[in-house]
Amino acid sequence: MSAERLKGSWPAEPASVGEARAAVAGFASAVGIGPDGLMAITLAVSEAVTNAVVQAYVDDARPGQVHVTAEREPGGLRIAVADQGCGLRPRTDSPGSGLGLPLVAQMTERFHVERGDEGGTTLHMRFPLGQPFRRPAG
Amino acid sequence: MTFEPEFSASLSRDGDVLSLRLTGELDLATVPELEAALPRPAAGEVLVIDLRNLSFIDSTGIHVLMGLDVSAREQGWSFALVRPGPDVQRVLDLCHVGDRVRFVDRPTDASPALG
Repeated sequence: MSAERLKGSWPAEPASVGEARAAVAGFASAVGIGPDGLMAITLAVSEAVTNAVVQAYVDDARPGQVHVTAEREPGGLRIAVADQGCGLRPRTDSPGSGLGLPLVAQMTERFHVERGDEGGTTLHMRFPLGQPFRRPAG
Repeated sequence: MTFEPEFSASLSRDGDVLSLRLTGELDLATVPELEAALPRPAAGEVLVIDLRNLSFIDSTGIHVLMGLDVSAREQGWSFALVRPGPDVQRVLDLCHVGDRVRFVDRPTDASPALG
């Protein structure tokens, strides 16, 4: 791992959520993200990896992989969470009650979901450096 | 090296107040441990989840807490949360948990007589 880039892959299973979260937290801390930003980043990564674990490989007998990359770029941090699964689909038995993506939206400067040509989903997230994160309104 | 997120849940009772103290990180991997530790309060009793030592929560943990609020209303017991540290409180605030669930400073503050 270089100082400016983190790249890791984990099996799409529950224990990987905390592993990926810890790895990204370590990287973000090493590139100078403060406590407020770390909280936002770890929450967003947790939601993104959870989404991949729960959603991506429901049709598969064995879980696939979740890939996480984090890169320092001018003024911010770019993080992508990718899988090669079946894509985002509505589920009535989701363990997160639909709170995950709205939380990602609250924690990021911007984000978008990309569907691969040959399947799979990538959630791209951008976090600002050195800026306060949004607080809930009201 | 196998990563194991730190999490534990410790139950105690003081009269009609059942207090479950959580420590560590609550996510997809540790929510089953919380669910396994949950008591089944009787009507009129109080369940208070003590979040003071919880260092992380995401939507999976919040989903369980909100489910407990629904169960309390359906089954006639009371539900409260002991206020966590600022990081966890921020996530709860983002999800407007306080709109439905009562927050207290200590488990003893959740006594039915004070509710």
